[in-house]
Amino acid sequence: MVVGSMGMNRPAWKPSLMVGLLSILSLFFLTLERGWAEQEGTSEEPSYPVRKVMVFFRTEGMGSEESTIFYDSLVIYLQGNPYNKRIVEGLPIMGPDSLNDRASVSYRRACDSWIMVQVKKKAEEIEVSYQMYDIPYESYRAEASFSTEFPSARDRSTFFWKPIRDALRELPALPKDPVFTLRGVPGTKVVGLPGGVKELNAEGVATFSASTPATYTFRAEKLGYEPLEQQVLLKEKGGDIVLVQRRGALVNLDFSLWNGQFPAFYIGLFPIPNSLFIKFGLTSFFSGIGPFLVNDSKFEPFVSYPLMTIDFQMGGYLSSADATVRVYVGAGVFIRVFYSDLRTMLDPVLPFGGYPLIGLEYAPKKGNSVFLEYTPRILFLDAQTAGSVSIGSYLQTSFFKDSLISGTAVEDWFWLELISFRLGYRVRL
Amino acid sequence: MRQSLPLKYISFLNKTLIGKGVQTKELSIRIGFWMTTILVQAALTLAGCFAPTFNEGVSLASLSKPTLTYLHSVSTSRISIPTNQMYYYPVPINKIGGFLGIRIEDYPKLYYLKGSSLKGPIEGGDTIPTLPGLEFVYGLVFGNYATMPMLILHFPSLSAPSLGATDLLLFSYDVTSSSLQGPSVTQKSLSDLAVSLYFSITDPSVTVNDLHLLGLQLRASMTETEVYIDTFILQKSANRYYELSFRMNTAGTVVFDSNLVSSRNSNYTYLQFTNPSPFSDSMVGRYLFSPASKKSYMQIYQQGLYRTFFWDDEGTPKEISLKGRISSVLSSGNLVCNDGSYGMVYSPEGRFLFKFGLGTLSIPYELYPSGTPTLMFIEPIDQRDERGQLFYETYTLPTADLSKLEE
Repeated sequence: MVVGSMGMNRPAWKPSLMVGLLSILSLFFLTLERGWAEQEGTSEEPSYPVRKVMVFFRTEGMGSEESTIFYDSLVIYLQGNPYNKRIVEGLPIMGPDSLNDRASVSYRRACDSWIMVQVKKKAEEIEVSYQMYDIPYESYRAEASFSTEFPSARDRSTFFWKPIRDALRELPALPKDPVFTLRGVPGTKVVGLPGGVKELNAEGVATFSASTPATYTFRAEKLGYEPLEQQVLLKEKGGDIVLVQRRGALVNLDFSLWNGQFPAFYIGLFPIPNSLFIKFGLTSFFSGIGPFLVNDSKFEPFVSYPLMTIDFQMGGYLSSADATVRVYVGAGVFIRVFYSDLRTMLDPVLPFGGYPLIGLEYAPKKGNSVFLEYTPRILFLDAQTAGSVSIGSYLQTSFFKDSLISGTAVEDWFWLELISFRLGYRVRL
Repeated sequence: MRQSLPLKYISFLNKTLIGKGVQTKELSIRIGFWMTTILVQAALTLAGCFAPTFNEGVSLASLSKPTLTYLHSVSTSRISIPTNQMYYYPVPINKIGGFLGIRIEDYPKLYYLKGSSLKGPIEGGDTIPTLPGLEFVYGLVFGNYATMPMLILHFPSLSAPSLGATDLLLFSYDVTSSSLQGPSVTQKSLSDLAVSLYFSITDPSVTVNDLHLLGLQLRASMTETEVYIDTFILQKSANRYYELSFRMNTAGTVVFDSNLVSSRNSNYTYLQFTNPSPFSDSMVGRYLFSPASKKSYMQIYQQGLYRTFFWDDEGTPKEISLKGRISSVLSSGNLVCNDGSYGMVYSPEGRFLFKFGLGTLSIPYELYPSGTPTLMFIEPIDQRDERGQLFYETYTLPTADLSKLEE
């Protein structure tokens, strides 16, 4: 039964499935429920934990070499027990004197019981006494002694230790681990719980069995939903763990400055929330900051051009939705609208273009964010010159007479605008 | 052990903020915020150095260029002054080039450009100031374009009789010998033209000091070997306004052609505008006469604004509202004005007809190559800052096709 849970804010960096534009495009054809939902969740049967016994060993009247030989033969013999009990050597072999300390040492090695064997050598006779303690049940399961002639090596490996091995039978099986049921959005993957990665089936259910009582931290992820990190305390009776998953943002708004100068407004829609986006944007060059002319000492705080660009973008995030810094990639196309005094038209020189985009989003509170987006642009060149100056050279001269060069013509084919970025604030709705 | 600056900074924050109960997570948020702020500042600073890939003039010019016919291109890298101190007068036939007038520290120089070769300069001896609202020089190409193109220049600021300077100069370029020559003829518009060729015959009592040249138009003739010089002259003592037209041939010989006032109304030889006259002997403006509409125009520059008047046979100046400077009165009678990046076309009465994109183009004049009224368009492409050359590209458009530029 879940008795307590708490949200975790540990940031994580997990690359998503999208690694490039083709991946982004292909993801358009994925439905939200498709893929993961087709896989069946694994059902979990309760299991019996294997019992582990730590073996302590003490001798009297024996040399250390002889004592070691006896101890090794004991351990080897016990390891061959048919009762599914796992044998762990004592550390230290002699074990502590007190009962509590023996239990503590055993626990540290994940053992739930211990057995103390004491061997006394008297002339040609050997006296063996042993105690076996069941830690969870806090009781001795065996306590006996026997005397015999000094055993040969063959005896030690065949029957000498048999009474002790038989005593292992007295250790009862531990109670079964309880079964827990995860409930949430079908297809959700859960990591951090015993038994490896769990995936919720088409009914939104997955089960697992876990040792209890114990505290576990798990992370649940589902495309389109906010990742969920949670700590749960599991008790002996088992029960349900309900994943409270919030659907990711469906819309966001970008307020930005293109090249740090000209205001731009974008609205983004998420076919797959928090992951795959399409955007429509406007960038107005009607009023902008600077440029502070480099070939002219005059300070010009504002500048204006009768130009506007209309953008369409699509892309996807490479980072999980709850990461403080998220990376996204995509591609965009745009047209350039020139609103001259004659009429509003496409810019007759560079009417449209496209670009890849790579962006960094910084969201310290996992909500709204600041972002920097680099969009090196390729512009279709729709003009020619008739004289002796090539169109590329002509435009380069015309565009950058009073500023640094932010782009270049590639032959007479197209224009490459390398200095092109957006810096702004993104609001998730 | 020495700490790096960021570590020192974080250590300082730990002491100052964490000690006051600020959690580590919040600290990282604050650091992130400050780093973002610094990033924004850096981006803005960087952005200030770059301009968008856009030039309104280029875009507007590219709207009109497909309608124009490319004629020729010339270039030079030997002249380093800004293009706004340069005046290019193209010859309207292929591969011939044109005259390039420049002004350095108020002194004029004249070159001839053909292809990438440069001839000249011929240097002027006088400083040429600029009058408000006017160019410091106006020029017109005429003559035998293929063998001996000629250029007549008028300097408005030198027209006052008290200066004693010649305000009309004639130059020529010999295509065969590739030599720039001149000034082959110098004329004073008031004394050599108005007084000698007109007033000495019609009214010998008029002295040159009693005259004031309000404006002068160099007008192309249908005959390539002639050019008209239309003058608008005020006789100060009598408050009479004369419009006298002269003709100059390729030899530089000037003859009186016509009294434009009489050509409109044979009863008059001069105008007397009712008071207050918009024109006085303290102003010089842009005067134009249209043989097609028989209308005269005067554009003056007052208090930072252009004011334009026109009159016809009634002799009464009417003010019209035009945008920008008048570039030319066309053979059709329409007016073309340059309003920044746009060309504005008006009817002879000043009614707006349409506008078109000029951008980096400009219209120096209308000529009649092969008898067809043709507008010349030029575009400077200055690549001298990039260790390139200054190009002047010339385009033509039959005046009858001007309306094709209408968007």
